[in-house]
Amino acid sequence: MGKLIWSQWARLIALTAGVFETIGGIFGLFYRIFTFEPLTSDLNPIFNPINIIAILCIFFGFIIVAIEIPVFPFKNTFVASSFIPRIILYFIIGGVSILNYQNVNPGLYLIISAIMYIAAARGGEGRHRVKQDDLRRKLVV
Amino acid sequence: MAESFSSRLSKEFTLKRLSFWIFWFGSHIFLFIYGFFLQKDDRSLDNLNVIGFSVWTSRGAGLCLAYDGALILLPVLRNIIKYLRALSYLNKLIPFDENLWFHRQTAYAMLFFTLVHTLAHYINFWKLEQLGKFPAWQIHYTTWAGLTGHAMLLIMVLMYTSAHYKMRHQSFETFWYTHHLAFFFMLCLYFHGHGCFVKTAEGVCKGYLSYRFTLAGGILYFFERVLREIRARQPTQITKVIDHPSKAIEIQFDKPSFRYKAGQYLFLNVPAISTWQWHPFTITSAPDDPYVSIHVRQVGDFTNQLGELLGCDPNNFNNSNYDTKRSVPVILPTLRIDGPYGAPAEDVFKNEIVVLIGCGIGVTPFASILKNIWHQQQNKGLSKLKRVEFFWICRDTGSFEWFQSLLKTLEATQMEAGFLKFHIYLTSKLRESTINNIIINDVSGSYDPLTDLESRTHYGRPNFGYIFSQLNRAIDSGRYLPGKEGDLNTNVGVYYCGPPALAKSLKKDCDAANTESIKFHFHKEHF
Repeated sequence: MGKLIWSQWARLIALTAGVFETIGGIFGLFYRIFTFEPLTSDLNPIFNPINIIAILCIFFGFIIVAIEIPVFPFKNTFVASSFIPRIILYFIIGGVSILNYQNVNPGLYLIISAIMYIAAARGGEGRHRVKQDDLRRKLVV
Repeated sequence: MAESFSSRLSKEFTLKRLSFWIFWFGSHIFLFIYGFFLQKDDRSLDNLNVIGFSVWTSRGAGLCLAYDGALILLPVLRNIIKYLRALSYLNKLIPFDENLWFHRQTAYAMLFFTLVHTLAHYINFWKLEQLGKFPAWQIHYTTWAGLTGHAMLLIMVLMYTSAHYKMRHQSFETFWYTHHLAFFFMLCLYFHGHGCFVKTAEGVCKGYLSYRFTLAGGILYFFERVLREIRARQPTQITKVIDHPSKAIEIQFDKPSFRYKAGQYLFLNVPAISTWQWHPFTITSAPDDPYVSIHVRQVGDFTNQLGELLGCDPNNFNNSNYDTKRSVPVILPTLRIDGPYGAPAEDVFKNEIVVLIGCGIGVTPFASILKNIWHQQQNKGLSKLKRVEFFWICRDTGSFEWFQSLLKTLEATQMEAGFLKFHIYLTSKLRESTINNIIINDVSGSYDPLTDLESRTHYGRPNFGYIFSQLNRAIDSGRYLPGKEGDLNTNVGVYYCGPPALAKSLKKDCDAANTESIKFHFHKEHF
């Protein structure tokens, strides 16, 4: 029964990913390792002695959660009300966080979420929601 | 949430809940500590113990996960639960109707210990790399334990998010189909210990061999699904379809292999609409009826499509109320029926005094019970029942028609005064013409103008707090049921089927009306 709203599901997965981005980042500060170390050790300076990617991931986690809830500074901005910006953002964040050993899984979940958001955008969910929001705003006024 | 924090707190600390929580947290904490020290104090595993705290933690959490993995499938074994709940002494001890609640609690525990276990392992593998034993990536992505673990994490993300209550309410199918990833999840769980990571320096395997416990649930669940499939394939034939007003259809069908008790429910699947969707419906016929019937209210995609297939299109109905040329389907769809399964309402006949409360279409389990009462009276079959108070709360007048003939027959055939009382409540606003109709007919007629019953329709919502306290006083003084005076212990079964909001206030009213000797026991249908 009912119709699947892709953005609804994508949001929950993005929130999960956001929380684990931050947790993974915090762990990454103490247990520093580059995911693709067996392939190349050129990037090791980014991870040791200070894990820059991990610090970025902590930050990313907060951004994702702030977009999805949404709270300041994204509340009522185009980032929180449309899909395209976050699809792009999540692919970038996902790609970057995969570099950090602890953030491979959250990065993967974020990319899954971005793919679901693509499905949502293709299905025209965004327009519908924007309309509803407009309607609500009018009602409040 | 409308529930205040303090009332929620007091709910969690009732004896039954509290003892469950003590058992639940206690068993997890015990297993965690046991697993923790099993690893820590094992001198033969010192090759792993060099890692330290994180490896002990991961082993403790791992044991808890094996425990939860063994439990998670048990509450969804509907058939076994059906037989267990029939054993009343066991049903009093373990509330079998709360099976899905327990399934959720197990899932939450699983989530928590998964986090502990996984985070500990992220540290373990990092330390193993620092110690120069194995590269971390190799353990993560080449061993059985690592690969199955990551697969399970991904499956958990998909399953938990799609099972969020808002997702379930929006799109039950997404939840239902995604939840079948559990098959792969359990498969991964069985192989998670394969390859044996917990090895002594000599290569002796010292894992928990957790598949010994977790496999049992999986095997039972497999047979459960096979049984459901076999039952669904038994021949079933629709014999009659009745299009009721207020968008309800009654389907009567014949299934010789189907045996049930009044108040139970079944799962319906219509391959013509969807091969995989199963929808629960309460049985509205009594076991002695020559057919099995269900009432379907057309409120969603599935029920609307079902209506169309059976020639009861609700849109069509509104436009052409008395059109005799309405399209009647030539070929009736095949029905697949799974069940019956037990619900609280089947225990109605174990009480002497019952209060049945149905809201709208929530009247269905009680329709079955009332029919059964009628059959028992006809056949002079005796049951424990002495007094039945039946409440039906409806929004619109059209709903009365669903079971009007049943109620009328029942009312007309009552021999013993006071055995069965109808209390019908109408909550919607009435049109002026309807009100005029009532005014004209109500005063002089001996039957109610809306329901055509002798008992009058009440307008507005019932005040159950008052009703229960009145009932209590009547029983106490011996007026209600002779031989049941206050000095004897009396149990009153209150059975409810309807929206959860009223269930909460009813539960409160029941508790408020309890006295030393007269106890109101509240049971609600879960759906």
